[in-house]
Amino acid sequence: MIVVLAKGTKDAVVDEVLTELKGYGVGARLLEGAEQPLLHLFDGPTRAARSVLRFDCVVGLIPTSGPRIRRQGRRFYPYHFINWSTALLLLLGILVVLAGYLPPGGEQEIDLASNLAVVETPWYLRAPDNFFTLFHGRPAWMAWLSFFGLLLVGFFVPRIDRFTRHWIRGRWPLVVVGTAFALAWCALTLKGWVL
Amino acid sequence: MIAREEGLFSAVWSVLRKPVPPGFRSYLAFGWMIMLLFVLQIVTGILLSLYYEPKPNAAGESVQLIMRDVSSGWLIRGLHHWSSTGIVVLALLQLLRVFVAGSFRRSPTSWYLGCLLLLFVFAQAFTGSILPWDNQAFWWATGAVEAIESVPYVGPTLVSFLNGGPEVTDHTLSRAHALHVMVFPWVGLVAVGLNVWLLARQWSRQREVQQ
Repeated sequence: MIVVLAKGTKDAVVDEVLTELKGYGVGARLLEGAEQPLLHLFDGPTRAARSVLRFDCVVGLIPTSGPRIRRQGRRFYPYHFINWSTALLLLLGILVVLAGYLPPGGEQEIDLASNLAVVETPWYLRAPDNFFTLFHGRPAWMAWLSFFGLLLVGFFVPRIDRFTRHWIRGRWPLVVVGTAFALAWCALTLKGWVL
Repeated sequence: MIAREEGLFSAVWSVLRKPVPPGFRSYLAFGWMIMLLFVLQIVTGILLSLYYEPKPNAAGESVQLIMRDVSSGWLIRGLHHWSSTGIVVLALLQLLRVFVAGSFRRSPTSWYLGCLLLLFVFAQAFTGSILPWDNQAFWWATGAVEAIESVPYVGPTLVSFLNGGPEVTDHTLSRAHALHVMVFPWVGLVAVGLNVWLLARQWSRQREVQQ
């Protein structure tokens, strides 16, 4: 819960409000930097803070938890912004470490005596590549037909779902199909590499 | 309530202060990360293009120059490489999450756009991996050309469009570079923009229903 105080509230009055909150066992701290003084209630029975509304300097209360917040969600700024920016900084750190310890290649000159079997496919194309090897010895059109068929099924999932929703209810078919797809993708990626 | 400003600042502030409905949290978390990596791709891509030369005889040398002689070149190229890998992983996970959560039921257009975006992410990553024009890149290009050529009916036409002929030549590199730098980023930007717009519309509708 955030207690918003009026602009220009004197320190003595802020202390008075803080003392009142402390009396209810509510842990609070003054937030610096805003246009007007804000009190962040971080501990104890924060609902008891309603009583401070009787002070003239208290403009309002902003809830940060409770049923309404659970229903409507928390504000993007500052909650999600701070959480996700921290996550992004972490991600950036991981990328820098990867760039340092696993630098991309690109220093071998072209060797025409080499061949495709020696050069590994990029990891993200290993799954489609290994999918095609399942059709080894069969006509190419069969492999392409199956591949494009799967792509079209994937693309038109919302349409397919509209027809099948009447007789397959619930979310479990999506979970089953999604898990099966993820496992198949991982297996095809790792085939001939780890597996 | 706290900051009352006029104009653009006020509009941006009001958007930032809106509560994020619980169902949109993971959508935004993935979107936020993909956006950052996309921006990182653009920034590092522009920096790399200052030194990279898309010519068969010079491409390899320019890449080596970036890695060895250019100040922090190894970091810029490494970030470009690994952020593209990150985008591929996140885009795959995001599409899987949207599927499993059934979010595509709320906005089918977002699903269609997401699928197209994933294809472009793959194409972008692959054309980028060809640009160093080293042994690996050359044979990757050869493999891709052979695969595309085997597509019934349209294969040979596609290959001649991508290669300028039936085999991997100097034109393959310049065309891969053109696609990587001038086509796919814009397509990606438009698709991401449309997706964000759809998401914002859906979000505001949900808020109206709640209110």
